[in-house]
Amino acid sequence: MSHSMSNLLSVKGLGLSFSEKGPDFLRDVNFDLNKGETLCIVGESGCGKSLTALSLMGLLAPSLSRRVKGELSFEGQSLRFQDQKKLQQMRGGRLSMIFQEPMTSLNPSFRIGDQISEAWQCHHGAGGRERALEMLERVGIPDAKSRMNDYPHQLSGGMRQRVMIAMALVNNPSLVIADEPTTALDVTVQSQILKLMNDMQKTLNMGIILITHDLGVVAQVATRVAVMYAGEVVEHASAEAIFNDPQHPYTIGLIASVPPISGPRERLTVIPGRVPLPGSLGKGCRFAGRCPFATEICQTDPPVQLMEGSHFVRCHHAPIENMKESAA
Amino acid sequence: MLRFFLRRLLVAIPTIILISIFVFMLQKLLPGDPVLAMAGEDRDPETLARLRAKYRLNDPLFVQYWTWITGVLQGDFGNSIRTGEPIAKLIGQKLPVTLQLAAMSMFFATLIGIPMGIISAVKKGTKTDFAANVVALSGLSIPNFWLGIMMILLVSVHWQLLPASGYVPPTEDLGQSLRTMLMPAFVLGTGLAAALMRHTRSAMLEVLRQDYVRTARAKGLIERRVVLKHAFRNALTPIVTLLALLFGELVAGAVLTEQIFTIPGFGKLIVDAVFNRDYAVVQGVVLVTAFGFILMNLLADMAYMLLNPRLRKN
Repeated sequence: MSHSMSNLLSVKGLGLSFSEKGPDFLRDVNFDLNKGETLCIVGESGCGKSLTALSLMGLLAPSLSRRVKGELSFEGQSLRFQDQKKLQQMRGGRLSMIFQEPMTSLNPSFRIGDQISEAWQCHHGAGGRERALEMLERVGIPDAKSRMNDYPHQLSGGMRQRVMIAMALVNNPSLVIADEPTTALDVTVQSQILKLMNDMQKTLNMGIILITHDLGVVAQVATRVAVMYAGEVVEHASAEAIFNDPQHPYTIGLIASVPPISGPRERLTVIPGRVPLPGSLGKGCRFAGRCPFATEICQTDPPVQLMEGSHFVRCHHAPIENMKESAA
Repeated sequence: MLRFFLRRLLVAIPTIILISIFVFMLQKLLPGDPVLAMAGEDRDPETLARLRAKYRLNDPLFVQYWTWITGVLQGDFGNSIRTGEPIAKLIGQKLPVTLQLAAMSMFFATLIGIPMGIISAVKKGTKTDFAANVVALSGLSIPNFWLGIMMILLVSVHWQLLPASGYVPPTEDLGQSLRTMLMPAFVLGTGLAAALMRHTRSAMLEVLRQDYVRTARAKGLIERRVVLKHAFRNALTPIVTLLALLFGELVAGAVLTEQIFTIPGFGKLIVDAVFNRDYAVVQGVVLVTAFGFILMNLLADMAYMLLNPRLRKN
């Protein structure tokens, strides 16, 4: 399935350690994305979501980027993650990124029109200003022509994120990575931004990787979901399968911990324990310490098992029926 | 911008008045009688009394101050007690010399200090960074007078490339003027370059970890443009502050260097005035220096406004 006609991106065996013998902060991360689809990467803080995004963009610090392992194929072109040069050429063009903090992600010293047109010009040369104006209008900045000359501090958070989106999309990328793009914004502005991204996705037929910890957002926009835990993708499936038929104990716990909107109010479900510190990562399943279904076998590295309909689960006990039996 | 400048200048007036009072009082509190110095061997009480009366040293202090300050405001700093020359003329002669020295030193300091600071910030933790820091530390630790003497020995005496001392006004012979000023400016500049390098390095390190630098990289810009445009532009504020302060210091503090290279500048004027207990000259020089400092600070503030759009008003 990873080489179907509409395949846009496939990541294979992405790994990253901070030092030669240090633990793996990312281990064997795999996922796929088709054109025009949205992949949500979900997980708690520190599970490696942002590291995955930065590895893809080639934006890690040089000391780290040397340690990235794995391969990716993007628009039919395959390359290794270590090939920083190639990633550098692609980024901002076919592959671009929207960041979490619109307040600090724009350069305070330059006019927003210039910042957007610079993104166009470094890939296409002349014509940046017209293009920047066009993009500002498309992302819904009112009175875009005069706003071109504004500095970032003259805009609200939501407006700044629109500018960031305009900048990221100015070169018609086929893939946009959005790292928690709405986390820093008001709830009402959040939904506007999500809607804007959705509209732009339809017009440009681009793939989106949305990094978030908000399952509500995931339910709204995701085509596929990759659930990450402690640097690994523990479950990767269609959004439907993740919500209706979760197979990994961590995914089940994550969905259970979202309070229901209707029905009787109960105590919130929590996953006991906490994310293991990178230093304490050893062999075996990384979730075993918090898993209600853990057994002896979980001390060994779990295999990635393929369920029905390209649904991958990194667990010894998958599918779920087995776990319930073993727990009983 | 002009209104801002004028308003700030108005705010600076009390400061200048305070400084002028302080300068005036300081001279009165210092030991040493200028009249005795002037009279020389002849200590005839009548002569002393006559001199005191002539320079109005018997007036009450505030009258003396008032006489002095009203003169200053009209451009009359009084006359040198020693030579009788008008102080305004002395300052007018010496100040351009020191300004030329200061400007050329700043040129060297900027040319060496800022690129070194940027490179060592970008290459933080590498051998290049280490080497740059060692050079900067040496620049800070080597005293100017030692470096000056060593350079005279090597460049003037041994190689006979540049004149060891003296001064030629640029209006007279520009080439020769630059040549005589080259060594002293370099000596002064290296010390400043070190300070400037350290400041540039820390400002750049601070800016390079900002989110907008990552955004600039994410756009696909080449690293040089990310560093020189997006990062450096935002690191400029502390650098400009330092430049302004350094320039102010240079005008006042080139004393040692001017002595070593026998440059007839402001530093030499003040040293000679102090040795001769020429109160009036010292007062004038200190007042002009203080005013220069305030002016440089004002210019730095204006530079902030130009650099930082958040401070600009519509």
